[in-house]
Amino acid sequence: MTKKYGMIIDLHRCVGCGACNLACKSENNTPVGIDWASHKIETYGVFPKVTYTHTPTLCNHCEDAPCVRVCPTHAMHKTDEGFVVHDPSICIGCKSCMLADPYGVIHFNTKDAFIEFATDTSSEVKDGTFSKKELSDKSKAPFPNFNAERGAGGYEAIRRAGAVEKCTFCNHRVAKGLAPACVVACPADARIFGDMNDPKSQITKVLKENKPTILLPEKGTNPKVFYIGSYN
Amino acid sequence: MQIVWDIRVSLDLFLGGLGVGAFLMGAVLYYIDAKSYEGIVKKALVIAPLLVMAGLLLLLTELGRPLNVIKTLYAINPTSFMSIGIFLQSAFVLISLFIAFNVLTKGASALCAKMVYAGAILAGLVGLYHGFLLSGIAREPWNNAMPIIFFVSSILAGSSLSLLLNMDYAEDVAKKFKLPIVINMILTLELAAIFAWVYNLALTTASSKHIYDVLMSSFSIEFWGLSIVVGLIIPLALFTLVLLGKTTFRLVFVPASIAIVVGSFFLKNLVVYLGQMA
Amino acid sequence: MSINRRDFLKTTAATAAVATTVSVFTPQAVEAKTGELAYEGESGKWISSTCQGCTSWCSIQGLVQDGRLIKVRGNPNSASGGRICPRPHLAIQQAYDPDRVKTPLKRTNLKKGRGIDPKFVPISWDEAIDTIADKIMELINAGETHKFLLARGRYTYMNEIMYGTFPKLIGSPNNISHSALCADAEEFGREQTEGYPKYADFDLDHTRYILGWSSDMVASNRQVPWFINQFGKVKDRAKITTIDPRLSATAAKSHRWLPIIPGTDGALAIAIAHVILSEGKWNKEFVGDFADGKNYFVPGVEVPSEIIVDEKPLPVIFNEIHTNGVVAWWNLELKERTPEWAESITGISAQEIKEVAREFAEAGNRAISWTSPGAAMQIRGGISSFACHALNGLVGSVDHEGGILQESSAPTAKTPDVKPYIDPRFAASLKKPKIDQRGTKGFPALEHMKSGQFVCTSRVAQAMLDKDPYDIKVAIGYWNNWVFSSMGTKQWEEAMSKLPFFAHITTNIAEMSMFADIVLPAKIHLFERYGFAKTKQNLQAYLSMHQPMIKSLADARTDETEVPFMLAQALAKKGFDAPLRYFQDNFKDPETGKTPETPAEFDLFAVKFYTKPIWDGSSNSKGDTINSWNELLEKGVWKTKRYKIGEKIGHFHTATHKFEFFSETLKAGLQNHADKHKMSLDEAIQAANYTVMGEQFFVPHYEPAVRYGDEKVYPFIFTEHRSRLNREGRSQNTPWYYTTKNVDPGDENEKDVTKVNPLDGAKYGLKTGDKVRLVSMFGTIESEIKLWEGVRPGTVVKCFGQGHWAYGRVGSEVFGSKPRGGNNNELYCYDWERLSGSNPRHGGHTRVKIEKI
Repeated sequence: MTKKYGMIIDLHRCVGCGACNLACKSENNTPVGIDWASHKIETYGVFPKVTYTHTPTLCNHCEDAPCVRVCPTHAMHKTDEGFVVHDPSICIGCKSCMLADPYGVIHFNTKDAFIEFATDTSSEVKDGTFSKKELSDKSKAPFPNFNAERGAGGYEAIRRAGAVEKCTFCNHRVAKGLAPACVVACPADARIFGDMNDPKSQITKVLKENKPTILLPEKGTNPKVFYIGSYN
Repeated sequence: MQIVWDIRVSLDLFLGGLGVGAFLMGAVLYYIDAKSYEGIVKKALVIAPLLVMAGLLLLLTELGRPLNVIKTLYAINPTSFMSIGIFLQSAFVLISLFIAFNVLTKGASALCAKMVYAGAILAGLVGLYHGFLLSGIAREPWNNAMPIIFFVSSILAGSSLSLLLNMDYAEDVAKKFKLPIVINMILTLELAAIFAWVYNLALTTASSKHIYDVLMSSFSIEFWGLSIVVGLIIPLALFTLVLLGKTTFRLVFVPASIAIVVGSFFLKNLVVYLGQMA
Repeated sequence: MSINRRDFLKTTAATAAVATTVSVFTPQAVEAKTGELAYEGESGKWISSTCQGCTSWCSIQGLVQDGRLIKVRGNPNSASGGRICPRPHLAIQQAYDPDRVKTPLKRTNLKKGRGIDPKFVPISWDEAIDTIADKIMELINAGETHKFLLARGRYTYMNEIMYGTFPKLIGSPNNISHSALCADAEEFGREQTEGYPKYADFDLDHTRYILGWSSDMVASNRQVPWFINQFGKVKDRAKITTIDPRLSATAAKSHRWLPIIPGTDGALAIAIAHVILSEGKWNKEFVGDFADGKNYFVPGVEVPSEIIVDEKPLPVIFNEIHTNGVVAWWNLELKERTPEWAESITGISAQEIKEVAREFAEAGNRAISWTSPGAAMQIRGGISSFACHALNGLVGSVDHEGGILQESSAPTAKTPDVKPYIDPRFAASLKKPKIDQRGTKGFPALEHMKSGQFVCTSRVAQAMLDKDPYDIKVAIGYWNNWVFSSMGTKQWEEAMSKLPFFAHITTNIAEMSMFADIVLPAKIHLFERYGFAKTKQNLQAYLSMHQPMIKSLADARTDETEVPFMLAQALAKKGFDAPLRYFQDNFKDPETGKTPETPAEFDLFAVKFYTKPIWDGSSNSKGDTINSWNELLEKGVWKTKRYKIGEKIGHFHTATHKFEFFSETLKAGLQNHADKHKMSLDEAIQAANYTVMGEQFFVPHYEPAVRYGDEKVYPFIFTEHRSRLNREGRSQNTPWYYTTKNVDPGDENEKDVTKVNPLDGAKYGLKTGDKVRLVSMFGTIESEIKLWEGVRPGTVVKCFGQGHWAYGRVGSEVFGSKPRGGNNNELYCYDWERLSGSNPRHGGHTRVKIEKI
């Protein structure tokens, strides 16, 4: 049977710490300004009865993905396993996907990501502190903590200018039998990732036992990221 | 929401609209009487591909990876209006360029009628495509009203531009075809389409109401002033005065046509930006 | 080697290809493991170390590929089951911060002061060390070695070398730590009640109620990842109340949020105690009961010494079991301290105080009163901490299942005796009092019933300025930045400007470095050096290793071992070889017996020496099994067996060995201090800036909060909170800090906002986004307004951490002069919690006004 990967985020367990955001950045070489894993926050009520919520967000890998529908070249496409992923080699950079995406999880690179590590030779104290270029040269990498594994399978390990990028459900990790970085990094164990077509998988069981919600159900996108529990 | 499509996209839709509108004007006159309207047909058919190409060139500069556009020829996504639109526009540019070349070198009457017919069909499709491009993305204000609003605006602006470029003919054409009546009908149609669109936004969902509020608060000058009053009401009023015999076509023709062209740009630009405010 | 853009894109592809081929993972079924911590399958090697981004001191691991650090995770062998909070992720950007010092630097501008460019130029390690050694020799030759100061900030346990022995070896009593900036006033409360001046542990598995005094357990300090992991589960079976002037990350997820007026926690605690006693809800098994079973704790009335029954006087007897002085507490303090009394002081309604008191008491000995620095690091916070912690005694949750616990500690080697190596010339200098004025009249700094036992870190600036007890001529600082992180920033700036010679061992050119004559590049503790830390999480004490998993890109040295060894070598060359002899005689490789000849050897041998009781297998019976040095490095952590609950009861290290409501421990400590200065107890209390005299002082009691500034001029009480992204003020030069900042409730990405209640916004014409100046009696900082409901009207709150005018190009707006955001310390008064010597860092004591820019 084909796989259908999905994710559950348990808001009861989530404490809104942002470790997922940061682990994603390490894993996927996203530059400053682009976060594949993010969150939305809300404060409502009036002092002293105040409610604060934090909802982790990422690409929903929708069954019915608007970004895939509008992409003129199929650069944004769905894999057999249901990952919504992007192939920058055929992206024309029209940004239609960003406009079609109701969740705001697709990002455009106006410049080559991390290019400053190839060009910026300025330093705080001459010969006393580093320049970004020096760090890159010394570590023999595009930037020092560059994760080469993100480039597995031909994906641009860091994305050059002119194309979009977004969460891939860490397909490079899943291909090796590993859960996505945000799932592993969550100190609250609030995320469950797995094959929803497997009746024995934890995700299937937990989905059955709970009343999961999705973001923007009215958009009819059929997300594969589900939320259970209440943050408060 | 950050603006991901800037004025270059609006200009593409505007210039492309002018181009297909002009082409349609030229084609209609060509079929009616290629000889009598030689001048206007010629100019209309020549500016059509130039305008569309100018718009497309602007659009290319907006693209992140313009060189990859060549890949759209084989990487086709049938659910993407843009993917289809690229073929439509390419076909239109090719045909209209060929026609423009012929009309320049051999004259209007030497044109192949079937070719002009094909060009007109493509012009119509491209004109509709501009609206579908937006409605296909399905952001809140970019709904199904888009194709009709954009296409009608294109026809109005394109034909007005063609007439502006052929002042000598304009009065004659106006008389023969009762242009004030025809234009007023189309202006009214556009007004109706726009009001239906706005009314729909004001009524439907929380997010459409939000966009309605944005439109009425942040964009009220662009909308009421430039798009509606300048682009539609003023020309409508002027042509009505002509019909009532209070003034002459000659007197109002230039300001009314300029107003229509300018209004078309502001309307399209407004819609492109408004959609990104959602 | 220099590579251009195209090259590195090629590298990208090539490395990716390599990474795929060298993967140690054999592709099995392509099935992502669900919810499990999937560790295998990544190329590179996970290497263990310790994160000291807060005092949780978690065991972590870093993934190293081709000598580069890629990512981090929790150590699966750790007591917290391999979880980490966001902080270690940020540390990656600290390690690869372009603004790190890459080589020793020398100041060429002799003028010192804030905003003055030191004009640093690079020099060799030899020159740098030689310069410092010369300065030390000058002190030795002048017979004034006490004028040397070693200023220690954060530390690993290898600080035994640099902090524990080096100053003594060169004849100085001045090894001054940062502790008073941390949580000493919190520990003070625990000390006076149960004789345990340390961080507590908590039995989360069994607790039924958490009463958190400003404890933001899912965000900051301590055991953060473990509490994050357990919070959802605890919430399922326990009720959680969080007392905090701001809607903290924990308050947002608690059942109840009590937005207290800053600095009034003690009043709330004693009102809760009043309810518990007057309603007869105390734990009778732990505290005891009245002999006749009646409750004589009647509001407004003292417990009578006798009652008349059938016209006969009968004595009223309270058979107290594991506690000391509950009746005295009632009579001296609690009888009048009704919830109604507390309402106007704390801003919490009497009704809510009663409800919380009942809930807390009904959870009995599984209810935890959890004191954190916010409630304690106040000018009179020592007594607040005492009051908050005393509640655990009332419900008997001290050292009880589901309660608050003490902990043992991992065994390590004792530091070899330095005495035989101490030059007789130093005798007089070593007997001099320490520079921080601990134990002087106004600074009791009590511990173990003795005066002057705790450090008074932030007082050092004033002491240096006043040359009281003497002047400091040469100082070395490491892993610290007191000019920024301590109160009295102005005093620190002046004191540092006047200090004749200062060497700073640091990763970044911090504010303190801007006053340095020599800057020495330090290795980052997480990734580049050896060391170890000892602490506890989840009922297990443990030892966690630091090890160099990557080679520093800088020409850096380990502050705690390599630098003192290099100094010792340089001093030996100049004819003073005692430190080198001490190091070489005592820190031979425990495996081979080799004498350390280089700084690197010394570093390695010393850490092996201290951890030997763990890796030689001799502690296997006490916890994890580890049988070799390499195994210790591989596992990264050694844990004790789980803590045995209940064995401390009756054996507390207090004066009475009981849990003390009437603290004989405090009384003995203060008596010791008073005797030293020939004062009465009341005079000692006054000198420590407390108000309540007599016996009442020694029970948890109400002390009014100190507030600087006239309310009419400065309408807001300013208070502060920590960030879950703060690495003790060292993450502010990482871009990720700013792009993720809004994970702190109320805060905004890329900004340093002051949170103001919308009612105050309307009252003072402030709106979100307004650029403002916060002005106190003591200083001014710039900020931006954020109207937010999560803060009490009349109080404004801002996160600590930003406002660096040095540290780097991300952290400051203009490096060396203009801060990015504002440093709260610049607003604060320069005052102390004197019983513990603490720097009352949590705000509440200083009022501000807000001016639009």
